[in-house]
Amino acid sequence: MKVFMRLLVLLLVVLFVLPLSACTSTNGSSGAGDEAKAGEANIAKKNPGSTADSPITLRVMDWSDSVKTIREEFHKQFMAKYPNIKIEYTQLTVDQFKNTILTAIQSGRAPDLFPIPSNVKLATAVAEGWFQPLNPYLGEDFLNQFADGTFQNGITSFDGQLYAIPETASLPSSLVFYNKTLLKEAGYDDKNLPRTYTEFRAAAKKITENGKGKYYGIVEGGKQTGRWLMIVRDWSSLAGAGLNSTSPINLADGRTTYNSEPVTGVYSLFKGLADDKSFHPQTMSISAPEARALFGQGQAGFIVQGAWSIGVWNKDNPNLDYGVMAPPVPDTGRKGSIELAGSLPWMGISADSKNPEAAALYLKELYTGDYFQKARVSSGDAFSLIKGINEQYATVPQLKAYYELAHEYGRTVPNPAIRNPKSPGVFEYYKDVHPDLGELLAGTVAGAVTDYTGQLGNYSEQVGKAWTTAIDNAKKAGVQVDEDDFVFPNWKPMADYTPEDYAALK
Amino acid sequence: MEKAMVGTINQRAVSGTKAKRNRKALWCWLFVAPNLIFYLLFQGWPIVINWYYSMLDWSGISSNATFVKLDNYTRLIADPYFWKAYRNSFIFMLQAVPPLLVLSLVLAATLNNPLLRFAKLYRTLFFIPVIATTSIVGMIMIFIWGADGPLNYALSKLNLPGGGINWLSDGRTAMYAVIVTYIWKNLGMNMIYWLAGLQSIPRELYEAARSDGAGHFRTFYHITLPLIMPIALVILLLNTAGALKVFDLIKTMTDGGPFFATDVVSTYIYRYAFSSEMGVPSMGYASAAGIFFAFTIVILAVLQGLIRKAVLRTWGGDNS
Repeated sequence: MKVFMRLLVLLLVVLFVLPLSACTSTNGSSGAGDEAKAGEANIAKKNPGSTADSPITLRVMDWSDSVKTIREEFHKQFMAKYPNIKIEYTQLTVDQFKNTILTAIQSGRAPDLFPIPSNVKLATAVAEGWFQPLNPYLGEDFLNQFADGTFQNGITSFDGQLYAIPETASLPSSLVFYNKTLLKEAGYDDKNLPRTYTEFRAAAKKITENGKGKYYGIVEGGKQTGRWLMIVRDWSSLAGAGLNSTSPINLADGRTTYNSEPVTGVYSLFKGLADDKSFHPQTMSISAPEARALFGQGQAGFIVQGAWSIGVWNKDNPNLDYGVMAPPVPDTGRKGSIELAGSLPWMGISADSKNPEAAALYLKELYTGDYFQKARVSSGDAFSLIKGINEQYATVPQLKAYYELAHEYGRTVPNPAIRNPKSPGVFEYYKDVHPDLGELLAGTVAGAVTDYTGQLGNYSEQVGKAWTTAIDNAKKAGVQVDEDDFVFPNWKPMADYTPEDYAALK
Repeated sequence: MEKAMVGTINQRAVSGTKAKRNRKALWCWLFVAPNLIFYLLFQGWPIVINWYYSMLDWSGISSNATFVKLDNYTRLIADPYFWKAYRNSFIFMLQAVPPLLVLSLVLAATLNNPLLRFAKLYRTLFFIPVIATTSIVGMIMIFIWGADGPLNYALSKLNLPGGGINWLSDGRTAMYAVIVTYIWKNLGMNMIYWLAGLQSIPRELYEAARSDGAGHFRTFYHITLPLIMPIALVILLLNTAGALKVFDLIKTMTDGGPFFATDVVSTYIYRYAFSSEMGVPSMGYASAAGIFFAFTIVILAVLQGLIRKAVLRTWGGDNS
């Protein structure tokens, strides 16, 4: 019996003391974080990468697959320069990242550096304590190297504190890349590209017919519903829908009209493409990077992608002859513009990071170091936000064409966060409605949704209710916000929304 | 006097036996304790707290949580996509478990034949998919079931129908593709369960049956089946529970698509608990979905227990 009691006591001691010791260790590390924050004045003097420091492992996670090679080279150079810092880099697709980062944060295992997920507002992330302010670690000298207007209150900063740095100069990711060889075979050339829905559908059909099972009209990463959502949002905005990424309502009138003609027109086009069997057969079971690879191999005439694809194709498919064109517009013509989002928050330092100085050093090297920004722009992946880089290194013709088209068809839209920096607080109370626009378009292409007009009407109604509830709950919780903060009656979809327009509303 | 002595001796013997039994029980508890404590910490407590979460309007990432009573359940019951996922979970279970049990039994019975050469090798081969990570199996299966994957290539080369089907992209075929993969992946494990049952049947019974002139079918029906019935019901329970909570295979192969055609309750819960588009995730709502579904499974388990008793009575097997 005594033996039993001893064993039982020992077991209980092990079971209860172990978690306690784990807690002690956690508290200790958080204390270290506090100490780091307290010693902000000395941070500039510290060199976290020097060999004198104890080894540091910096965990970084994002979805920048298009610059993977350049990023890996950057990490190699970084670790050679700072031998005491080891980079653990995890790269996911956007959709994977959205889910993974939330679970990482929930379990207290957030990486030291991670971008704000595209589905979460920075205001929410800051309110939830995901990120820590960057100002103590990144001096004015560093921030001054960015293009004017990069950092904006309500977008990247709150209450005078900077929380996230934008990745690149923001461009829409819904322009259409085309395979010149396949289009030429179908009777098109650079000066005679399909401009309208009818022409686009006909071109895709013709390419598919010519392909005889070897190539198809269009390929998409159909598994990523976020890509479908972005297509509907941008293409229907070009048709005058007034949709945007800053709120679920039409910024001009505050209504939710997802079953309006500009939106249903996009669904009709994609249903037509599916009916014609113009989509690459793998479309619905692959991700965007996989679709990009198939386009690179000449298996499709069109693909809707962002500028980041240019660098990938130029590196992986040097023989691919391709160009970029604007999205097609309704047969009745263009009635709106694609949203130019301006500055978008990206990378921040986790509030739980035990190595904020090392994380800041990483950011400094990433943006103002000798390698990464230059290599990225040279590859044709994107335009840099660092002054002087684009002028010297942006030489890829497709990237230039993409930029010009984006600015020809894109306009700066009103941003409620600029009008009222407290307004993003509403999204803490907003409940997404499913199936959303992207899921419905994916369903339409897959043939599972036939009555998309009815479904969109239902979606409009539910989003309207969810939005009203969110505003009401936010107000009740003390968020200083009003429905009118999201309505801009002086917005003209064919023109840029300027600071004067914001001022005119006051 | 004698009676009193006998009584004392008996009392001592009884108390001695009782002490021995208590000691034995305590040792049993000691051995069970680690498992029990970990169960309470990592299974019991989450289940209990989930009841509470299911009544909160909470994102799971925020400190803001509002008690909303049964609102999440009301919202859940009104969502047709929850019922679609709910129905899909049962469709998956009903279409996956019976063939899985039958095929694995046939396989086990075949491999249990002492005359079969290389039986161990075959067992190993059939068991390999079990040890493969499900997510990796899912990724490979996307390629195999792909529109221009090896399956379609084989079908078209053999001039069989189905060569041009987009198995995973078509709402009519995606569920079947996932079910077939699930059966293949779990066949080996069920084969082991059945083998354990089959190998517990004394060989003499078969020899006696054979000497009485019984054929393979009659031997199987009159000897094998009644004797493995108790283990069969356990295997059925394990498979039913496993199929109802399928997640990783569907997540990797179809992510519930195309357009929710393979969406089951697990993927539905995951979608609401860990992802969002403009707002924040709905952990409270996802918890309500989890509790609601778990409640259904509990009812099923009780029903299955009752059926088990009835079946065992009918077949005259062990009712323990």
